[in-house]
Amino acid sequence: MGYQRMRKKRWVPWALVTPALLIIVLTTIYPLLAAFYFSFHKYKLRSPPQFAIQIGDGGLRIDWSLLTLDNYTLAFRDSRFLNSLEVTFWFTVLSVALSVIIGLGIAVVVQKGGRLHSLTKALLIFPFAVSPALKGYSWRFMLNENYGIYDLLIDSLIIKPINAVLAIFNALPFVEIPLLSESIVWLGDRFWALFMLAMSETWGWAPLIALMFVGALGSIDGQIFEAARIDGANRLQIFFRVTLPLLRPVILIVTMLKTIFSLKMFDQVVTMTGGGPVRATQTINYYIHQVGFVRGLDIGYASAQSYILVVVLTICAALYVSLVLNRD
Amino acid sequence: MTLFRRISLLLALLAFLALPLGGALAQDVMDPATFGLDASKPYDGTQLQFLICCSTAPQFASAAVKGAEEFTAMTGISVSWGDLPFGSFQEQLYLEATNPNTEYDIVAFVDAWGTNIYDFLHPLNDFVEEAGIDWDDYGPAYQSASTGNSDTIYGLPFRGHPLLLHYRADVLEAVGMEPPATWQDVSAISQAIVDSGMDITPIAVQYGLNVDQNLFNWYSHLWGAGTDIFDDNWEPIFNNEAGVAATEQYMSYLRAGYSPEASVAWNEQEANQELVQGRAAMFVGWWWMASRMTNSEIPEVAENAAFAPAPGWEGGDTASYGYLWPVGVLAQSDSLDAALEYLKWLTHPLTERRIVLDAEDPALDTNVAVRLSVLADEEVNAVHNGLQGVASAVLADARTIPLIPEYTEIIPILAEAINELAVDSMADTQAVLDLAAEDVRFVMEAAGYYE
Repeated sequence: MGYQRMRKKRWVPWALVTPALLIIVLTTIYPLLAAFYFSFHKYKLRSPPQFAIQIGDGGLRIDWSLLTLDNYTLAFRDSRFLNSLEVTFWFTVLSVALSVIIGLGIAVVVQKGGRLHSLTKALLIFPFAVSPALKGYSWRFMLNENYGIYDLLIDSLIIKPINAVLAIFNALPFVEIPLLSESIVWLGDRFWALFMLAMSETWGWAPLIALMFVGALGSIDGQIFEAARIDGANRLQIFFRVTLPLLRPVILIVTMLKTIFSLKMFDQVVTMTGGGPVRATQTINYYIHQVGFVRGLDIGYASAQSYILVVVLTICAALYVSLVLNRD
Repeated sequence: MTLFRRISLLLALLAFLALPLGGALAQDVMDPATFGLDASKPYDGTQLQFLICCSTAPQFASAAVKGAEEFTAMTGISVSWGDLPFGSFQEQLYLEATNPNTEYDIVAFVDAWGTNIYDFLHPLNDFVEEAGIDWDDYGPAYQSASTGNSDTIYGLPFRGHPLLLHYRADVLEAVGMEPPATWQDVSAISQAIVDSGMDITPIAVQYGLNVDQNLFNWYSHLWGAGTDIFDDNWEPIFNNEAGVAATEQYMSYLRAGYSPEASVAWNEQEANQELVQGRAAMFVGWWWMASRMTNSEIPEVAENAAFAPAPGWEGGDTASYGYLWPVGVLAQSDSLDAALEYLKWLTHPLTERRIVLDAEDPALDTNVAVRLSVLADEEVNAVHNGLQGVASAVLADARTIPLIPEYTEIIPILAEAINELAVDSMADTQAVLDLAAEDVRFVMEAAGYYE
């Protein structure tokens, strides 16, 4: 009886999900399809667009001459676009590696009990809560060579002690080791600018990742570590042979999540580096935004670039799934 | 009669006599006829939306405050000013201007950005004529920037900025030098400062990539050396012999150590900060920044703040970029006539004069004016220590950048080339400029300039 009543009311589940579906169609599916359609047109915001599909008095008409692959072919001749792909790749590698490694390090340190550790865990979420644009401004300020706290810290805690040690060696006869520069222009050097951009991202993400690892570490049965110790394993062996393999599923999920976010890097590029020096930090999202909304207002070309990115991401995701996830 | 009573009576008499005078003054700025406004308030109740960045910056804030008090009382039209950060303003301007259903009526825009929205702006030629606006009261650079070098007026000059040399009078005096008239003088003075052993950077220059601010002074070098971005056929020529010489001179401040190594990443604000905080002796930048130096918290900076026209080229021209914010009306505005009514008040010389004279409140204190009559006004110059007179001298030789839509695509190519020369001290100027010229040509060719 109940089943038959449910069958009669099959429309109820549909009615419940329809609002959500409509919102997804309007905010995600429609823009995706529209961008795909635009990518085959010469469409700049500053002039009225001419689209292939035309609806007029004579009904629906398709003007095939207005469809073009020019935007796609242009992308592969555009050195700026190719550069942005390369920058995005290196930024992703750096920021993912730094976030996961530092996050894991923090987790190992704070996973132990105690009141202070609980407080530390609670505070860890704060960097992630800072808006990315603000993060960029803050880091630019903090890296300033005159009044930047990071610049001061790096000089005082790293460069000066190293130089002091090098100076001792240099006092020996026939030894002349060049000292490290105390005036690194962090955002004026191609490598350091990209590295610091990755660090600003790591600053926000590593604590969040640490919290994920803390949860995962807490769920590992203590008897496993006990058994390893009884078998004679030292701390390093336990970490690399027991802890890390057991954390593998979390590491994979965290890596995938961070990779997706790193590929979308935009805000800090705008507020921290402006894409510079030269083109060293022009990520693909930043470049697409410049092409579409700031420089050429070329929506057709920006759409084509976005779809090339979609293809690249799809290939990466497929490789990732086949190489990593399937193996598990 | 006691002395106190006598003084009280005298004051009362003076106050009585001053009443009609005060009333007349108040009437001037509150009388619609003064600004050519329609006294019958035909647009009463209209709400206008004004798309503008940084409306709390002193150069804009005073107009917003006065408009809300006075213009609304005279016309019944209220105007809501947007307040977007400069960094995101360009994108928002384009999106709103090209949106047929935008809620905005009036837009202020940077000259170079305007080229992309000319088709969406209401032409103002008829309005200028009917409202009796004196077009000749604007300098040639500002006229060009408002029309895109065409016959159509797309916007009225609203806020404009000549480039000034900001310098420390005490430092130049200590080395026995006059303010530099040419860029070559800048090098000579910088060397003298270095030789003197003074603990101060000779000049702060912004070479970083940030909203293309590293190009502003490069243009002055380029034009001064007698070349340009394009020739008459839109072929890039900034990489010719004069262009290379100009660029090398521009880079020499960094390479000779006159501008610190860190300036390869500086934006305009950061370079200016070096001057304001007492670490640099010279800075060439927009005149709206002058008050930062005069209001510096470091006494020796504020007390020795001095300004001169931006340098020219030895044996060549003196030409610098006159940077303009025109104000226009969107063609799709539903309140076109009310918006034009607002432009009459906003760009009126009396409004502009009162804004620059109002120096009491630091939040509203600005030296920025665009009309030649206001720049020449003695009272205005007295309030701002003659800054407007210096600005007039600069504007006489000022010019604007190429006002074609494609130039917004070309600007990053040039800015990156300049930044590359700054970052890589071994880079060959000719080779870098040649490569940039190729990229520029690619953009122009794609836009059909060489067909």
